[in-house]
Amino acid sequence: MNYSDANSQLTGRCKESRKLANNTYLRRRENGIAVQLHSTDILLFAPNGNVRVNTGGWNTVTTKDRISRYIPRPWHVWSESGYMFIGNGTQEWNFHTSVWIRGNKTDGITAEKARAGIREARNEAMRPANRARYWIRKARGIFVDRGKCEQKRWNCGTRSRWNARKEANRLQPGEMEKVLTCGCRLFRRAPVSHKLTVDSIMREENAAVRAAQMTIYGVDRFFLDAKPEVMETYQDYSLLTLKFGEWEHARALKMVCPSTGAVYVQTVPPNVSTVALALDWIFDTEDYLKQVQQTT
Amino acid sequence: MIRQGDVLFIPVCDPWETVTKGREAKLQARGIIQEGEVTGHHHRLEVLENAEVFEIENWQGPEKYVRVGENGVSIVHEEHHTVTLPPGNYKVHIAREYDYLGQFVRQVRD
Repeated sequence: MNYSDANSQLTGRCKESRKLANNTYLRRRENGIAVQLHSTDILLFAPNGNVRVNTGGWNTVTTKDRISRYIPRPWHVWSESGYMFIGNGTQEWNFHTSVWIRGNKTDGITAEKARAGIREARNEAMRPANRARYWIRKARGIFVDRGKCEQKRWNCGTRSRWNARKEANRLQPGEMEKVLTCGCRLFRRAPVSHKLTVDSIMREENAAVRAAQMTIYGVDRFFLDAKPEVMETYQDYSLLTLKFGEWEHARALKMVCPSTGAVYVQTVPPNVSTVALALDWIFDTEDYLKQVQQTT
Repeated sequence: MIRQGDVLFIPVCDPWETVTKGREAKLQARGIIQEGEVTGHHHRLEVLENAEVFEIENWQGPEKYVRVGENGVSIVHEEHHTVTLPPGNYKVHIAREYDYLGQFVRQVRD
């Protein structure tokens, strides 16, 4: 449809408005003729031949359908990852909510430039998650080599991250490598912590990355090296807390083995606030300190 | 309660029939209470004749019980001092720790 087509439809008793489709009307405006969907002028045909496309922020299937139905050929609109695009078969543009079609061109952003920007924005948004994923994989120390897999992806033993982890959990503590029936190789690689320091871990803002780095460094060693605050001491037990910023903290119970004199650090949930509660939590008991008779 | 390293023995007041009611109790023939997955050190009965170790399936997973005879029994471990359990039934609790990486609770690996 163009201005003259629209004008020819607005005649007689329908000279001001005519119903085109469900919730969609052709309406005469001061500056041209509009296709109105609900209360948004999704298309405006100007008398000089220019057309304004406007979603009004409603990037819905119906909006796209109505625009594509009444926009002059060969123009068409579509969306990619929630971003609106318009094209005429030879060139493509991106627009936010509205765009003017003038002849063979629009005043939108060229599609290549827009797609590059979208890709960059998506990468930027995913960067913290990807970084956390990298460190968590490194901390778990279990990797998958799919190089020799002979199965299609959906039959592969490691077809999803969840499956890979399930298979990895079946690796015995001493087992370093395992070849699955599909040909995928699961292998362990000991996490290397030589570049990690207590300061660098404490400064880390991403909690998932920090937890992974603590695991690689060794949680016990980290608690002893990081000079934690001692919340409470009772006999050979000390409840340690490490503060990461204002809101986050990690807690652990430091114990001295009565038999060997070795120091053990056992992590407890961050809401445990006393030695007694920590011991009750660790051994899943009530009133451990009062009831225990022998400790070795 | 008696503790040896990361294993805690909690006396059970209920008779053995009540503990095993409706559940299958599997006898651990070697008398090993807790296997050391990392070090290979086990918490085990010193004399097999004096006590029995059972594993009972629970909805939360397997639970271990030690049924000690009239003479009592010693529990030995390569690293820890020996502890002596007086006659009676004991439930075995293994120490657990909080994993800050996965934010879940897991049993301590010896």
